Amino acid sequence: MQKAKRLLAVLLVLVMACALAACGKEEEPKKEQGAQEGTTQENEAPKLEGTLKVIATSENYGPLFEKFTEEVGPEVEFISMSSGEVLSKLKAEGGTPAADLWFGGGIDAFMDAKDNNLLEKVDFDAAKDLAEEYKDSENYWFSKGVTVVGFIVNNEILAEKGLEAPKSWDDLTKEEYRGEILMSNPAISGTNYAVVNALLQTKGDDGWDYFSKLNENITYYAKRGADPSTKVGAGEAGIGITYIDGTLDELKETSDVSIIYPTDGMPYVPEGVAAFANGENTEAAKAFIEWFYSDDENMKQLAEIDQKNTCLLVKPDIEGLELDFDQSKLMEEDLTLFGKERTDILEQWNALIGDKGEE
Amino acid sequence: MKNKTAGASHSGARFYILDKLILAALLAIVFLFVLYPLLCIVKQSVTGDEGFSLAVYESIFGENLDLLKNSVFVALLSAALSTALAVAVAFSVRFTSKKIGRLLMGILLVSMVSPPFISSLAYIQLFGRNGMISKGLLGLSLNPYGWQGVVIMQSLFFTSLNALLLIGMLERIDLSLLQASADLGATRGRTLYKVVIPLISPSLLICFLLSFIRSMADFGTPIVIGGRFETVATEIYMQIIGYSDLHRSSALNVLLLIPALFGFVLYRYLMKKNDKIFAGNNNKASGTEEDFRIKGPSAALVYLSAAVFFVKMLLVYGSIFLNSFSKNVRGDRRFTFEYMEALFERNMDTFIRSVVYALIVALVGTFIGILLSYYVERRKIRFGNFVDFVVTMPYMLPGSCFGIGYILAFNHGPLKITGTALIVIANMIFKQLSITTKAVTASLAQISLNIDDAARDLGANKLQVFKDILLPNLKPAFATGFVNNFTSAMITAGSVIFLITPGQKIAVFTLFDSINTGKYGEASMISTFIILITVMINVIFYIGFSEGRGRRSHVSGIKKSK
Repeated sequence: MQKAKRLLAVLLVLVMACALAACGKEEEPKKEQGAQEGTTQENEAPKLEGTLKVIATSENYGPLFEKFTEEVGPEVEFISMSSGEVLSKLKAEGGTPAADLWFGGGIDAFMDAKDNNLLEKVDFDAAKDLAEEYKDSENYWFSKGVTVVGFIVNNEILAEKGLEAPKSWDDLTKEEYRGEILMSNPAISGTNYAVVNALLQTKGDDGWDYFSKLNENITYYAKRGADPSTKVGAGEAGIGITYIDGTLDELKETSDVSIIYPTDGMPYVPEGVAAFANGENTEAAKAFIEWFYSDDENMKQLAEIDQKNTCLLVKPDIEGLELDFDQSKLMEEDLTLFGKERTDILEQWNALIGDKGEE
Repeated sequence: MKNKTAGASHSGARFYILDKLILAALLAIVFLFVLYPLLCIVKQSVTGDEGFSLAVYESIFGENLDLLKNSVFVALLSAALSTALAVAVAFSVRFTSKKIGRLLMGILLVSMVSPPFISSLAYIQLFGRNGMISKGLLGLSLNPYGWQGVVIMQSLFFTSLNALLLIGMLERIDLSLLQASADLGATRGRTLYKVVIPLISPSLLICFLLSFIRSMADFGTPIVIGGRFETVATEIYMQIIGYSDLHRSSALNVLLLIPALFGFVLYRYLMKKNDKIFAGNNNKASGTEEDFRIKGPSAALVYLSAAVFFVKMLLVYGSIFLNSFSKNVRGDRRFTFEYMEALFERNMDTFIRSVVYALIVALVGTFIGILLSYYVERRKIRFGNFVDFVVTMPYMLPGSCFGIGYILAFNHGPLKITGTALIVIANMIFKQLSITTKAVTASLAQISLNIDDAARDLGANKLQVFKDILLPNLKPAFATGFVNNFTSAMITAGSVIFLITPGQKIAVFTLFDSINTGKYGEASMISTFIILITVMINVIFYIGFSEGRGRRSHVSGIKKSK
């Protein structure tokens, strides 16, 4: 007992020390902030105050947010969540969201949020420079880039099985690829939802027929977006349907994989940016959006972080960036249908891939 | 009641008030932080676009019956396997030499810490189609996906907590009983089945129940290795993440509660029967430090199962560790510090915050758990069964739902606490509370009520009985509760993902981020780091509470205090 008490005391001290350390750290950036304000040249507009709370798709955007803090003022705190989680959370919160800015995620979720009055309208001058199909006509959401979809193949596995790499979406339904193709569930993955919606638009009435053939070649639908590429890299499947960006280059270094841009067109989906309605600091969110699109340097930094230059599609006049693919290879998509058709398409999708829980 | 403490009636009255106050406070917080959010979920399921509606329920049973069958099927298998395996593990740890026992205990404490997704990924890496063992060593090409994989993984990982619970109970078994059994000519195997198993049967029942409901609520394992195999929990995950449909996911939760409720009622019934077995059974330790190692065929079975468990755990954790320090470059494994550097580039504040939260959760949660089961199991308060059920419910549901329940309950009005650390900590405490209460229940079942009565006859009041008789006997339960609370607070993400604000990220979110972006090397490194911190603190506490526990400081507590 004696020992336990002593232990408890030690631990309590530890807790306090940790708590103090945590507090100390939180204060640090504020001091720096103050120092910077003093040294920066005369700024015409008064700096914004407070904290901007961001929900992003990855933790990598830190440098971009730091740049915003430096130039505009508000501290940025961010956390990464999937679009589905964001929507569920917003709906549960019933109109008082815990964040101000939404940065990244499939555009269909943004359309859904707008329809549920969860987004704030943001009007600003530079909005007119943005390509029309990549922003909301009423300025409720914008895009920061585009997710482009193609295949990743594991050459070792294909060679082992004596198979050639598929070149097109039509190739994927060939019987020889049975059991080798991995795709994420379109309800979970915005990328794969884009595949389903875009191919349905392209193929018209034959669309569902295509997916029922494809279904026979797919062992199972992954429930996380990054699964197809990582599992193909790990040699667990021969072919994966995946987003294509610079991050896949890392996989190329460690495993024998190739990236394939389908010859019959690439589905794509814009990645949204929006301010939440009724956030604690909506002003800062609006300021961020205006700041972000008003200076090409910001978008270039984003391109570097995302390891792709698709912000060129969103704002075609950025200089010094070049697309990694032929823009004409993108499928023709009516993006306005992405949000509207989602429920129906996913319902039909579920009916097609078979009874729930069946193995 | 009060006149028993006639000699100290003044302090008795004061104690009486204090006693009622504590009880009232306990019930108030349980209702506020468990029942209220759960009712909000139920309300959500019967709220349509235009007010009250049962529309969701009309289709939910028919459509999801297969999923429910899948859930129950896997849960029964996993519960049975993990309980059996836990018995084997607990025996191997308890009845072996001190050195080996400590080593095994160490592996067990490590295996308690299973960061989400990462162990399932390690399993695939070992036994999958391109697995290091299945293909590299055995030259097989296995398909690890399906219900079999889910059952294997769940059984393995539920075994850790079960074994921890059982070891606490085994420590307290009177060795003289085993001696007596042996003296009467029973073989060691027979002693095991006829004496030891009955003595720990309440604990076995608890292990089975907890594993059963844990499996029902588990969506992480089936998501990673279920393949096309789906359960109610994965469907709830799909409804929340894929469709953002709160009505449907809430209704599915209600559906999930039905088999869990059956299991719970059965458990209470069996526990009641057990009470009779234990009445008048004083398991006081005699202090005989004999070697009761089992032998013969039963021993072979026990040791073999335990060996399977320990070897698999070593493999899984070994490969997580290996992955954090090396990478596979085209079939060639290379050592690297790259992931370590990546780890330290990340925000280390999150780790400190995690440890602080987890310590608060572990201390406060375990304390609340002990008090609560004291009132429910020992003092037999009215509606105790109901209170116990309420406390168990959060454990029956996928974490994300309990998190959404908290948003629904606490994002408005006088109780608006969203965005604070309090809501995150409260959520962690009450999600895991039932483990502590069950561990305490199992311990209390071993202490005869007669001892309480004897102490009361000697003039002790209820507080003294609690402090001097029950508490010293609850050390193993406290240790189990602490380890479980601390560990789950360190690695739980599902329930708090909706409650954490961008400014108060915890460590497990860094892990999630790297998994979601497919950086498994980094994810392994973060896991290794989380595992190390957690195990370190768990070991300190476990040892702290193991010293002098059980064998000597037992019921003799009365003597010491007077």
